Amino acid sequence: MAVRRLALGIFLAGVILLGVLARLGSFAFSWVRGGESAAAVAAPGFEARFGARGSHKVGTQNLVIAGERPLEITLWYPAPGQASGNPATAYPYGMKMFGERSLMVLAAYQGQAFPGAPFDRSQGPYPLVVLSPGFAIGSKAYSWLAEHLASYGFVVISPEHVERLDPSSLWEATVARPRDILNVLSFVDQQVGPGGALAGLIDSETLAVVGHSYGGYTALAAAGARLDTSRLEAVCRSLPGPEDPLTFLCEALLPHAADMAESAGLDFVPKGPWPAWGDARVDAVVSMAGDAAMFGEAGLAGITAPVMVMGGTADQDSPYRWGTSLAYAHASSTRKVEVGFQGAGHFIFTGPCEALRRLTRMVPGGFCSDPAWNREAARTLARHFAAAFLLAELKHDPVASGALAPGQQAPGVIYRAQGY
Amino acid sequence: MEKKSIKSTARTAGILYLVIFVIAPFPFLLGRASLVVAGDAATTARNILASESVFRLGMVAESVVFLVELVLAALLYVLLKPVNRPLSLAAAFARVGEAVVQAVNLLTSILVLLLLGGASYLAVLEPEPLNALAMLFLDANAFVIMVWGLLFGFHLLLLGYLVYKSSFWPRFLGILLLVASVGYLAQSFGHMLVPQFDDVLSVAVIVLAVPGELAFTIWLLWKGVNVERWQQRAVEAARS
Repeated sequence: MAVRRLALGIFLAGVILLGVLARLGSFAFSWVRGGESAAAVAAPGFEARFGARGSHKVGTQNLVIAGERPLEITLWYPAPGQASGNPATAYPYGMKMFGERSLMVLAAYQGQAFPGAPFDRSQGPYPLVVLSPGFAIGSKAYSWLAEHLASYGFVVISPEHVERLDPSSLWEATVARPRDILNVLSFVDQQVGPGGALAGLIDSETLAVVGHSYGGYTALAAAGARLDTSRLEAVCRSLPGPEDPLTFLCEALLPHAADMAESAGLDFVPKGPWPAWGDARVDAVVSMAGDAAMFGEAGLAGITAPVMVMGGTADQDSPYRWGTSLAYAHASSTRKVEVGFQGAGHFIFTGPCEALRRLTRMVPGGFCSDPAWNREAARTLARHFAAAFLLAELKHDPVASGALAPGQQAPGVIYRAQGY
Repeated sequence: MEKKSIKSTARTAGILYLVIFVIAPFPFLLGRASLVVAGDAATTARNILASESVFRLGMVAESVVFLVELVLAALLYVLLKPVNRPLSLAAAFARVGEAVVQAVNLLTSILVLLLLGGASYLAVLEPEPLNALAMLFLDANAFVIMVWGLLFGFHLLLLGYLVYKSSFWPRFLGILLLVASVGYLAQSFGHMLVPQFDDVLSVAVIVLAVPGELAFTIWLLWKGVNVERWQQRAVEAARS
């Protein structure tokens, strides 16, 4: 009898626990207003001229590059001025936590692009910008930037890298991501030819690669930076302790150096910089909170295209010193820009959280917050600098070039530039 | 009523309460949380079409809840009748009303499936307006919850009072149920009067309601009801 009562008690406790957990889950996953918007915010005492939207209307489409490993891509492009209807584009900001193709939406925000709008070829072909998202982050998290660049007359293509938020698979992404970029470029080459779907829209000889976080790594690699696991190993050995934020990268990559080499088609792990995985046509690169430690000084020297690096100085995911700062210091580019957001963390470059799940607020990680910055203000400055840089480099706009001259005094920003 | 019978009525009420306690969050978890992206009608529509069975499972959970609510309303009426018949009847009506509103709310989910179902007569509309309408009904579902919250909060108010006065259940249960009623009523009225505090009120309803509902459920399952005192109250009620 006592055993029966005990068993019943345990069963009931289990059922009640399930109910409590379900209620807590229901609460955590519900949506609340986030208080952010995608709109530009003025920075006192600084004219972020290119932070305001450009003159083109913007359209957006989703396509799939067929192949053994199908790659979903999203396009943002100039749309005809008479594009009408409601630009009811809402974008999810999420991470692929549980599956390579299933996005866990953390927040959402409203865009201004017209879904499925026709291409405006009247002023084309336009320079191409390939936008690589952060590790396991959905590409729509960067629509705020993609729409902005398209409004200035660029065609932006963002691949949905096939990966899941699992640090043990970061080494695979390290090899696969530069291939994804080449895959996108090859697709564009096919489609811009006579009769192609993108003919007259994209100038595939004028292009930049932009990325955030591991997308920053991807952008640097696409511009010619070369992996250097020997140098990374030496750096990792010199770290003061396991609490150093770079430890994550060391532990995720170094044990898999041989796997990466094999996956890249190499017979052995090179001593020194690995062969380049980039495309010589890349005219400019923008890395936002991008990882760069895996390249080391010699690997970064492989970059000769103009480079812009941006980052938060308090970033614990892609430490400023080992990403933004290192890339600026060692890229061989004659024209380069460094924009440091003082005290900012890693997620000032991801989407606005107009609506967000309670869970997003509860889980540490700062997906929708920053220790020092109003994220809207940071995005406005990021938009300004990225648009100015790409206009200067891909469209040779003298006004934009002037906006990059050394001595820019944006509040809270460390600014360094060379060659402007 | 026999001793055994009233005890088993209380236990059955406890089991049904437990069923509701466990199943009630699942329509949201299955049909909403994983599929709906706030403000993003296109993604939401894609998600629902890709996981229609999950959405339908959420509807089944929703249906089970309101069907169980109807039986529970009757059982609580039987248990509370000796305390105050008119008030226990009013409490039962409020609970039945709440169940009916929940049943009507199922219609919003059915309409979502109809709109996204690709019926030929809907071909006159572009996908965007269809998705937007589906989103409207999903939003409406969340707001109808505020309507049943009013009825449920009122039910808990009466239930709390009756339990407090009953003498066959401990008074603290009545107090906890009264506190729970404040949570639901504050959320529903608050949504009408001060929608800017929706977020705070959603937290308040969890904090205020769960302890009372859970404690009452556990008591019904574990102790049932003090049969002697219940019979005493039933005799007193029959005499008056």
